[in-house]
Amino acid sequence: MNTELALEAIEFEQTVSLSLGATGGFEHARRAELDPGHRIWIGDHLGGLDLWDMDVSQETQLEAAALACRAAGRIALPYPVAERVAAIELKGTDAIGLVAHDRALLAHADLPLRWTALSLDGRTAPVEAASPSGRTTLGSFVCRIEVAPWESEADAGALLVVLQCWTLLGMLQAAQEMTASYVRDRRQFGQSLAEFQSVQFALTDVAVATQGLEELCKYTTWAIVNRPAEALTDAFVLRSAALEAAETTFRVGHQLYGAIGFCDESDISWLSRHSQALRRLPSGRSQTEAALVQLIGRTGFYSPVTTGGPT
Amino acid sequence: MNFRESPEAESLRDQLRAMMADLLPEDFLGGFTNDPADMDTTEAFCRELGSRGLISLTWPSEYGGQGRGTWEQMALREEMWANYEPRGAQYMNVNWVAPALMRFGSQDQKDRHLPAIAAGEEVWCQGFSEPEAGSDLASLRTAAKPTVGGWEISGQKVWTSYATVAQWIFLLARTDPVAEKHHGITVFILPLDRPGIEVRPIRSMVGPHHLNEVFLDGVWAGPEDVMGEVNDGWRVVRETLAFERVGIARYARCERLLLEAPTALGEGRWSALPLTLTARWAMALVHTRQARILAYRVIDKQSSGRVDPGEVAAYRIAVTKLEQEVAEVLMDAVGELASGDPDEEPWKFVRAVEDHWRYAQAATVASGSVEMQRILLARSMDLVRR
Repeated sequence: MNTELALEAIEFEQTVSLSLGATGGFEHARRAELDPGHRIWIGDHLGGLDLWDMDVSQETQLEAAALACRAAGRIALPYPVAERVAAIELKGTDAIGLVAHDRALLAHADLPLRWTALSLDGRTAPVEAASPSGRTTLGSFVCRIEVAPWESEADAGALLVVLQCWTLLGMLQAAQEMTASYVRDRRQFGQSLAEFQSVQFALTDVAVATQGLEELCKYTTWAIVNRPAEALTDAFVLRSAALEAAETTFRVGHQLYGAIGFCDESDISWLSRHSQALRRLPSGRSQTEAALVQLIGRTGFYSPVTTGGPT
Repeated sequence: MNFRESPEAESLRDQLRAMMADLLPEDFLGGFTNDPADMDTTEAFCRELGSRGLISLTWPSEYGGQGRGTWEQMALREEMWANYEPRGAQYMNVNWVAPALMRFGSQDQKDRHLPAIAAGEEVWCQGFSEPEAGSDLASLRTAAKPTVGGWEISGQKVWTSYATVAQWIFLLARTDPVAEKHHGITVFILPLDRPGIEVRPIRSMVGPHHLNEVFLDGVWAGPEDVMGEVNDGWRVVRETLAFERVGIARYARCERLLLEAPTALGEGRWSALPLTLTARWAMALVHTRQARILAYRVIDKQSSGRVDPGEVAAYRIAVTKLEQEVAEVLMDAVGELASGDPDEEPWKFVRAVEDHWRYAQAATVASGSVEMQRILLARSMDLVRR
């Protein structure tokens, strides 16, 4: 067994991170809210890094693409990176989105891309129209879509869910790091917040959640390629873990930052707001868990290694 | 990345499963029950494991082992724990007693104990905790006072698992009463039948053999009973406990029980459970997988000689919380059956769940409390500038 990501993939993540950081980092999110057209520049920029030309059927390149999603998540990049990478192998489609019904909500569907909607049972339909749904505080780039008749099938759902979890992982890891940094610096009662054990223990909850999620992201990326029969179940196992970890991480982050964490000047506020579409669409935590129960009933729950005797 | 198990580890699992199918009674739930026959089963099983060279599987060849890798040790650990640990108390021998002997034992100690451990013939207990020294182990008071040719040891140990069935104790005692508390501690390895040692069982919900008191009243120890250097016992303990890193593979039994639940309870009972409960069940499976993968990260690093104490702590927090979560979910799923007639179907599954719940209560206390693991994890996060 080898639980470590390929070095080549890690290097690609660093390249994407450095490039996005050098061109603005969190400023991309701030700028895109003022000028939604800025997202087109982001897509072209990532294309310049060959992200849309990756051969995701090849495991190392899939790992690299997954890590690029994490790099995007770390700065709440306002762009459908996972949705485009998951569509690389689909003909006539630039981006896919998982939807629960015909007039669903889909983030970034207003971008000039050929979008395909994907239902949980694997049917696809071209997205015919998309209009920004009202630019709410928690759904800056969410659009109401209309789809053409459901026509064919695709099995890209598991890959999309896994890549979105990598994006969310990037958000959570960045939120954890900035919260840890904040409590080291912030002093009250003559000492840094980090010296209070209650603060330390809250952050260990976050660390256990994010470390568990990172390892599960790695395993599931491997599993959906190597054990495709259970891929969607494995992907929903991962999404369930990701949604739970997001609740833990952002709750602790907002609490420890105090009021400054709600303010637009704090990057954690941008991470928290821009994680919402990933966490709520097409379904939030309870519905994801209910779907997981059904999927396990259908495919079983297979371990990396099955232990234990027969019942 | 590659999460596929090696053919060697797979074949070891097959061999172990065949052995267990042959040697374990159908209703076996571990050696620590009220039925003495279960303890006899573990003893016979260990002798058979020993005769096949499977206890010393990963030991270096100089100690009679096969030098096989950490992943095979993991396969052994998972198979044993998923099947109610048929090695009984001897799991500790592989996890830390033998590695400690190899690292710190004298030649005589190695010659005496390693072949006996490999043959499945020795049971050890850990003489660490005391009434005034729990998580703060270094404040232990059991005193070894110098006397002609050795020491006289007096004091009390508590929570000493398996002391009623063990032949040997790995004992910590203070040999320098004035040194700073982490110094002046020495490890003694003593036979439990040495005059002056008395073991008293403590009755508890966890079950027999898990908790005992050990009283020491002027117990004589010679230089040949010391492991490592005199007054250097804290280093021995610290490094010894590091051998335990992954410890027992709790997630393997959790997963087995969770996956057995729908079949064991039957279609009628299972489908009548509310979605809130089946969703908790599914999340427990999610957490089982997370704990397993966190263990694999630790083992993967260990196999190339690297250890990250924060990662070990994160795994231990995840797996001990998992144990308790699974206990609650399954007790909820079996419902009134857990308190009902012990012969009512599915009695074996219900007994297993009830046994799991009782043992799970200790998961976040035993082998280093979850609070200590949180402290270790926080330390690894560099939250406090030192």
